[in-house]
Amino acid sequence: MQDFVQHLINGISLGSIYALIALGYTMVYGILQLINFAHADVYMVGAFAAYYVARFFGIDSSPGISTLILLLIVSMVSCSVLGLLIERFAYRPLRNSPRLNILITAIGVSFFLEYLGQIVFGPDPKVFPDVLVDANLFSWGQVQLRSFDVAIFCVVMITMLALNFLIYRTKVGKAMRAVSSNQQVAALMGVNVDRIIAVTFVIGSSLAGVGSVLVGMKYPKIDPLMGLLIGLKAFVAAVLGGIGNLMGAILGGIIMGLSEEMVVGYWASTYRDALAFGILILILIFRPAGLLGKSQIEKV
Amino acid sequence: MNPILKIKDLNVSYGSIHAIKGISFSVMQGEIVSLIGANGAGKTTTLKAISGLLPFKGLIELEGRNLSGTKPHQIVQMGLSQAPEGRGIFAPLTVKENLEMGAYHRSDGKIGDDMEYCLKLFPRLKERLKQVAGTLSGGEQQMVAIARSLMARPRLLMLDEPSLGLAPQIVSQIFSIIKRINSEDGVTLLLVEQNARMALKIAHRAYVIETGQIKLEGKGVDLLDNDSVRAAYLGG
Repeated sequence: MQDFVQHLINGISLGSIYALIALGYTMVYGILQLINFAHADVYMVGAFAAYYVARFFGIDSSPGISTLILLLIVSMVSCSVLGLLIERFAYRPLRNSPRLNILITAIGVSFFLEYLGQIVFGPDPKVFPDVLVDANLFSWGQVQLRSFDVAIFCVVMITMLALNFLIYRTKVGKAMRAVSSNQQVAALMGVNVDRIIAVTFVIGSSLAGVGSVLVGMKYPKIDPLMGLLIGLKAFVAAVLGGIGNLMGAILGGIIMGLSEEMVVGYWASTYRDALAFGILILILIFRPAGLLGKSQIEKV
Repeated sequence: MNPILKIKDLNVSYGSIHAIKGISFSVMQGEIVSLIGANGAGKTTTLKAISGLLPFKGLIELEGRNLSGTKPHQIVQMGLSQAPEGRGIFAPLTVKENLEMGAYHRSDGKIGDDMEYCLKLFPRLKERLKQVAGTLSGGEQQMVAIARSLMARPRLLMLDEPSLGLAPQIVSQIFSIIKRINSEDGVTLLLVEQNARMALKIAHRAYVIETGQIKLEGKGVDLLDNDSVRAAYLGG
């Protein structure tokens, strides 16, 4: 029982990070019908930006809430700028070309960032700064509720509430939903579609930035290929929930995190990565639209 | 009177297909002008060129300003709005949000008044404000599309096939509202229709488009009596 609760805590903690990154995939897909393969590498750059800024200011070994907040902001801003640049220079020129072209471009941008990262940052792993003290906040028998997990949970909750507010309560959010529903008509309503797409990239990328600091805090080893696996898992989470669906991305992320943790806890950690792809295969066979996705019925 | 919309020698191509072959027409302040024609004649293409969705050759002038190279969202700000073909409602948004999107480019304080006015025109929508627009019936969706285009407070309103797929009573209800928008609010209307009888009855003037060219033009009532129009579009 206590084991199970511990796995539950770990699973939710891991899953909420997957959810953050999955949101970036799903938002861009919702608006452009593009799987932005470079998203995982934007996440990687966010981690390195936080790493270098922490070293520059000499706060790489002064853990605390203020360090956490500072690094979150640094990572969000750098990811946003990078996401904006990728959209502007790689995707926007291809806006009217066949979807396959832009998909291949996304893969190209991903490789570009991964190999550029190895040149600029070096291929060897680096140790992420100490963001928080990993203290045990609460014990119940062997179950521990540690500050990392609480911090991850709080940051993710705040981020998601902010995102929810932005998308459902603001004019920009309304325009984003309108563009995602029908780009041409949104333009006819006076929406500057290019700007709304850029905003979407900024938001999606800054969510990846949040994720990269949280992951760096919990698993403090970063390298230029660190986005590869977590990106794939978050992508699977987005597909599992129904790509293009925000709630689906969150649900998919949590399910992925929990099942991965359960596999590690009760079976063998060797299978943790196989699980993600097993889920992907199953979902594509049995429910290709995802758990919350549904095929739209058009009325005449 | 000055034309609010002037089109001269308009040409539009889709790749190698020359869809609009040099048409010219104009819409005067306060008029209802109908473009009628069969499927594929080029009516919607013409509207798309006017609203900035398609590149064109020739001249399109809105209140004397050349629209060449202007982006769709800028044209809305110049006083032209549109209820597009197939309604194009934002299905996942609520009815209220759809209407608010119509006023997206506006920042004046009259948006609330206009919303109330639209709901007076279409009382059905008032009951459905919080409902997701994709769940409405076809007629109600058309009402959303028209109300949404009115929310832009246009001086020129373009309606693309407002009668498409609707039951006859709803069609006449929608047409009487279109007439009211024109006579009471002074909105100039450019109407594209396959339902030629309705479109000609309501229009001050009309143009008949066939395979990308204007074949006939005249007063709505005159075209209703024209033999070739009767044969081709009114079922004899």
